[in-house]
Amino acid sequence: MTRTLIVCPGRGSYTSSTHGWIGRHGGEATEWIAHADANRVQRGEVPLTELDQAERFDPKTMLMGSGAAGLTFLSSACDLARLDPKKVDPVAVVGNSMGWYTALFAAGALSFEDAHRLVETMGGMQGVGSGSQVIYPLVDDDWRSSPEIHAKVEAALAETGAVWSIRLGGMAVLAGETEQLDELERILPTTQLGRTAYPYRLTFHAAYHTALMAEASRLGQTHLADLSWRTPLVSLVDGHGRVHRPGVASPSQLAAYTLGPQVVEPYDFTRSLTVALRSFAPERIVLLGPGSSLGSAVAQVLIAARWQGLSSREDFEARQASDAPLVIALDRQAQAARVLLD
Amino acid sequence: MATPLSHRPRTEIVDAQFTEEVSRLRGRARADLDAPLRLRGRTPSALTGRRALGIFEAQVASRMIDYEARALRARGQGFYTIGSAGHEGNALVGDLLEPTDVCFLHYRSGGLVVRRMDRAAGETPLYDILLSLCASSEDPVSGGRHKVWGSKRLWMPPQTSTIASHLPKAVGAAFAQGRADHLGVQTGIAPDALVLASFGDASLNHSTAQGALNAAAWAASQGLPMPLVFLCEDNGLGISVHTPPDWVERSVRERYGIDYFAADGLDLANGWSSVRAALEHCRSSRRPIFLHMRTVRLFGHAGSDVETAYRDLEQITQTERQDPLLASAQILVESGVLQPQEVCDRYEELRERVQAIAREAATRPRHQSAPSLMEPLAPLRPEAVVKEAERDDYGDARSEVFGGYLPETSQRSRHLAWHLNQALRDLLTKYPNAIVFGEDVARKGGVYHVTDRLEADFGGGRVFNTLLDEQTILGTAIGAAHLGMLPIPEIQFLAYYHNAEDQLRGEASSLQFFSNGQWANPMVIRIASFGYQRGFGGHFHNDASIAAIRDIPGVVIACPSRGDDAVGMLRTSLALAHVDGRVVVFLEPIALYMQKDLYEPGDGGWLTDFPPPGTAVTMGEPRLYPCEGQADVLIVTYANGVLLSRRAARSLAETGVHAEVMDLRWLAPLPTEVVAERARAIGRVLIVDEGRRTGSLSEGLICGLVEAGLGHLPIARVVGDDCLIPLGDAWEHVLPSESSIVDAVEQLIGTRTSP
Repeated sequence: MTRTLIVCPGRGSYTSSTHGWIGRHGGEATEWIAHADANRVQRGEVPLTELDQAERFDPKTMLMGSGAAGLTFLSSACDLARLDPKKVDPVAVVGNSMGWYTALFAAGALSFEDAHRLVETMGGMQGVGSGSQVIYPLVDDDWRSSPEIHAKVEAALAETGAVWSIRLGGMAVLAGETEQLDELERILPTTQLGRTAYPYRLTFHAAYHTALMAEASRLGQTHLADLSWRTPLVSLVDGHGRVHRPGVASPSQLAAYTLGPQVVEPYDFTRSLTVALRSFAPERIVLLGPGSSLGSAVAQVLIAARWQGLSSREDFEARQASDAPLVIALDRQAQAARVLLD
Repeated sequence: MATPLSHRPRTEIVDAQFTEEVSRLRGRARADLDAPLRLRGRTPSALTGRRALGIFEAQVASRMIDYEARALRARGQGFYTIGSAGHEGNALVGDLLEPTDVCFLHYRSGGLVVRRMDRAAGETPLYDILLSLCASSEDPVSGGRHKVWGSKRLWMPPQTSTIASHLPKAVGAAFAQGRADHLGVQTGIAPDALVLASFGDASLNHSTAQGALNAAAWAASQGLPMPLVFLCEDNGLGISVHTPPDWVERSVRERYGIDYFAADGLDLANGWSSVRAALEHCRSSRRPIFLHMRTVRLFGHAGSDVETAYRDLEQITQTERQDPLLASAQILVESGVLQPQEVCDRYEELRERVQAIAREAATRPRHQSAPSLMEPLAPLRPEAVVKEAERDDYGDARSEVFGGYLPETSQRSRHLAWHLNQALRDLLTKYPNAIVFGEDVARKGGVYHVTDRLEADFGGGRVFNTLLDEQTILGTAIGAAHLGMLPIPEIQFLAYYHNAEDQLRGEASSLQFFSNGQWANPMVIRIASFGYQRGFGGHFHNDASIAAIRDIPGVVIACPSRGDDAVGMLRTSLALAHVDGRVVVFLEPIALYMQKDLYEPGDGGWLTDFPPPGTAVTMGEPRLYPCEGQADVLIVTYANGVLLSRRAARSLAETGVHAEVMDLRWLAPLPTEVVAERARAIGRVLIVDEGRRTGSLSEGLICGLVEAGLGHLPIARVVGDDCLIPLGDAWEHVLPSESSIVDAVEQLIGTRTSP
């Protein structure tokens, strides 16, 4: 048994490269998959398995609305079911953005049914609030950051009125009305990281975690008033860095946060993960699928905290290549065997 | 081989006892965690199951940290083993404090701190505490300089707090909390925030504790707001000395001006209700309260303290049976909040968690050099200080305060006391958050009229008398500075500083160091000082001993000898406090307050003109009184020695000997480089120091000259004898005089030989 921190990814994880995840990894989660499909059929929506098994990844249907959120959630759930309880001692759960909903499920604060409803209801509110999100890196290709770049981002926000949406390790997710983001893109220097040029607009993402989503928060509180919230069975760390302990965290407090501040205030994944590290000292971090696109953000947080002596991208990659990798991404087979059912 | 029972460490025995006793408990029907605890045969408590569970977790976490502190020590990775075991009842207080209540905590505050931080988002108390036990430079409170309890975000300024020396500043902070509105000072804390200081039953005996209780009661009895909680955690022991039964309660309960509350720190349910009632009373009444909390002490005073050396095993085991963790666990089980096995599981989970965090904390970096350690001790941005000292953008307010009569337009030159009075008026105008206080400073205007009419001009809210207790005066300054005021306290005579000196040494001067620069308590302490008072007062009013100020790291000492210098130096002193948060001691030579003449009666040579705003005297710059032609000797001096040396220089000039006089003006840090530079140029040095032969500034000056490679020069000193100042005219026999200076110079240059 290894002290393990579970990290649940956000909505953007289900992409063309992770397409088919549920089909490939859902063997241990057939009951949940059936539930999810039934829920959607009942609401007159295409079953998730159908989307997942479609020949081609279709951004229009799969990135928009509730589908993308549902696919991500169900993929993560499939991965949870694959974890071997003999190898994994979950000491805490964190999530990024929509991944918080998955975290609530993973920690036992919501049933699968309720979590799925929460995911698809809130994920389907793209059209409720205005605006969208822009990603901009705070690090270079070696994941080094500088105060100058932080200052540039803050200055650009001050000038345009755009705001922080997610603090995501070495990435800034910024949000605002379309004109504000247009202006933001003009001000921020263009930069290349990997194969992507930034600033990068997330076309299908609304301005979650900002005041622009106040109406979504209100609707969520109305439509989801009947969810059965429970105190978690495993510690949760939210987007403010607050630790919710089993028994101590009240269901009503979790509900209020999830449908209130979580929707309309910045989600600080960096802080959330840092608090989880320092409060639970996990020996291993398991990154649930689909895919592992959150992996670099996790690594950047580890490096910023100099966790276990990691102080650079090189350190991190060396550690990952060793026989005791710190972060286990479930799409890397060699790593995943350490935590998956045999 | 099994360890004989009596030789097992007490930590192991108490640890095992917890699990054994809890396992023996009978589980009850599961309670609704959102409902108040239900306990058979007990007074109902409003405490819910969830909240009780949160408190219990903080208590267990605190205990596990205590255990781990000893393990870290044994592994050579940790350096502090004074624990909170037995005092975990203070988590009840941590549960009930508001986020901006100001806490000055003693060293057994683990439960309080963990619970308070757990309730805030984004805090990591266990990691932070373990970093500090390992003296890691990443410790977010002190940066690895001491194991102290603190948090910038949660208003817990750190201190080492072993001798209740933090209680006077708690009084000061509570006073400032009540006065901030009046001054328009933004404190950053809620309007109904309270101040809390914790200490043990043994610490209650300290004069600082008694003085603080007295001062709080004194203020409250006059109707001043004093929202202050004295949290006395009574475990009945001061290291090996028993506190007499009922002593604490009997000595405090009926105290006039203070409201007494008792709380059982061993009883999660009833204790919580008692603490809540006490805090609510303090918050709503704004009166000081004494919250007397029953605790026990487990595992001795510290890791190194072998309790069996002074207590019977029976006494020790009886105390251990009162383990508050066990008591809490019993309440949680009896009320159906947890089943016995769940208690044990949580207990072990927290143990593993703390151990895992400790493994990481032990690897974190420590200080490797003096510069990184010393960085926050005495911050100095010289250019910013000069700019601030010369800032004169308050002309309109100044015109209003001074009316048509600005001191720099005075037609007459004036003495030192007048300049100080005008400078204080000037600076109270410049800094709206500045306050002047001390004994007799208000309507009386001070013993020497230095604060004359300041109360009339600025009101009793900013210029006020304190009670006659120097610990309280300095404590008030420290606490008020924590909340954004710029205190200018006065100590009436230098000899009276000494009974309160730990307020500077242990507290004020150490805050920036032990908080890694996160907190500061800027202040300028004016002290009427030194001898030459022509028969007035004897020893206590003529004291010249500054050794006990000089050796405090980080404290600046200013000492003007004439009016215009005093104005410029006071401006710089306030700027040092304002810009860099520094603690400045401003020594005013009493005998020069009203001095008019330099050489002859009526020459008016010691009167000066008021320097206009926009000018200041830079820290570390002495004043030179050059002589005609090449100097034969450099006379280095300060305070009364300046006047004497200048007179001696004139006498010597008549015999063809030329002496250059240097008024140091800044006594700490000593301007040794400037002294060495002039000494090198001139070739002979006489130090005139009215302090005593032993321990006076003169020793440091000679040391500086020797270290500058000037040990070969002829160097001599004229100093006070190692004697107390006697009454009447007899003081003349033991202090430097004009003639003793002339004699010493003549010996130094060889025109006279020793008698």
